[in-house]
Amino acid sequence: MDDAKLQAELLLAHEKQDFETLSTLYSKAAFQLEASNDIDAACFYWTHAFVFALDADLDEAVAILSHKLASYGRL
Amino acid sequence: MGNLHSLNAVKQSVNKAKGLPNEHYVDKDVFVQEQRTVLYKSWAGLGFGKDVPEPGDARPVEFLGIPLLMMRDHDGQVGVFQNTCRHRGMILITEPKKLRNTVRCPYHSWCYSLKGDLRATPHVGGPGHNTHEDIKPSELGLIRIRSYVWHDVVFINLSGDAEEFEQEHAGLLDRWKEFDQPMYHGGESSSFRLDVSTNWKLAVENYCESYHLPWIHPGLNTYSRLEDHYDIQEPGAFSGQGTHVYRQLTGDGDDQTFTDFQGLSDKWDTAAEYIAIYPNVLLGVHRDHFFAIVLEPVSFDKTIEHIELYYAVDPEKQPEQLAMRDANATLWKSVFKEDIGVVEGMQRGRHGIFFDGGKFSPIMDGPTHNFHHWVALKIEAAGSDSSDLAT
Repeated sequence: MDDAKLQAELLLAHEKQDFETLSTLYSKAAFQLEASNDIDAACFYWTHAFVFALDADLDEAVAILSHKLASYGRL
Repeated sequence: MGNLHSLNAVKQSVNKAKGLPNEHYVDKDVFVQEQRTVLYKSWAGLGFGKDVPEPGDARPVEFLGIPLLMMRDHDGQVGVFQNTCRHRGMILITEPKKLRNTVRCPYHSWCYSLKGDLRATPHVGGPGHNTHEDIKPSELGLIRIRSYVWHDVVFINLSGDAEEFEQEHAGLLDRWKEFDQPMYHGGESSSFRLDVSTNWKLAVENYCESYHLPWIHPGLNTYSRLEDHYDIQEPGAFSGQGTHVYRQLTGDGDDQTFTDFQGLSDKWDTAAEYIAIYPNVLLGVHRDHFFAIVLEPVSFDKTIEHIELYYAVDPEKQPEQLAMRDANATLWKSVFKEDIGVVEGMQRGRHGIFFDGGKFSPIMDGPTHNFHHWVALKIEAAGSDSSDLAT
């Protein structure tokens, strides 16, 4: 995961209040962390992805992310 | 707060009564007490549905210093909530905005639905842990304020224990049942406000009597004389005045009039009624338009009058009547402005320490006394009610 690139993209999306992009970026980061078995960090990012999916009214993403968090006992 | 002796004087018949004592207009502490005893305990006007016209619209509104939030949900219903996150008390919405499906607190991102249900508590159990056994979402939704929308006016009952609106105001709902039909806001010029240096009650008292019309609204004298008006009073609920000689506005150079509301009885061909629905909403019905005024009590001597006009036909379907709607709004604005001098004058006069509340004309001041009597009863009823609003 290119941390610097992700950080830059996240900051830009935060500045623009682009919740759909924020949800996508946090989710992408979370899945990468899950792949490297860092579950706590992954769940942290999935939480953010979930919140921004709620704010952006992305029903499908909300369903996927809540299921993922629930699968780890985090929701 | 007025002592029992002075309020007993208010509760006598209009022939013998005195008006509410001065402290009800000039004392900051009494103003605060009246908030709790009169305004919180009644169905008070807060705002208008037209201010949250579409699903997802959210507007913060302050009522007597309490931060509230008006929202229209995806079922089209207007709800009123305390604009305060249940977590740490953060203000949720600071300016009117269009939400999608979620109210997200800007502080820790607790998320609520448009119906106030708590949907997410991110990291509440630690980073990446979004639940905790002692955080029960079903108990932590937004605090819903009891509300009712009638003729697009959003009424609230902060105390939560007033009778149902339809029971409390059954008399006026029945009186004006013919106007229970679609009404359309007249557009930008049909919305205006007046900032007045007066106690909100004086605006009510002035509105509901016709006695002042010949002196303050001389433009009416040629076609709507004092004798053409009649009093309207329902003890404990509303009072006002009617006219038998309403004259429709016509277009420039032609006989064009606004479209009438549907199915009205013949009475309304030439009648119009102007009623104060207690405590703080002033309404006017005519065969071809309706207006509502929500009086916002800012302080003991400051009130904002929020005025909205409505018509029988969607103005988008009658663009050719824009100039007439503008003219009608201008006319009403000028009429209401004519009242400013006297309500502000009464406010200043109430600082006269030898003024005893005043003497009512038994014939002409019935509607005004009806309101004073209602206020006095509300204050006395609250005096015997030791319940705390917030518990």
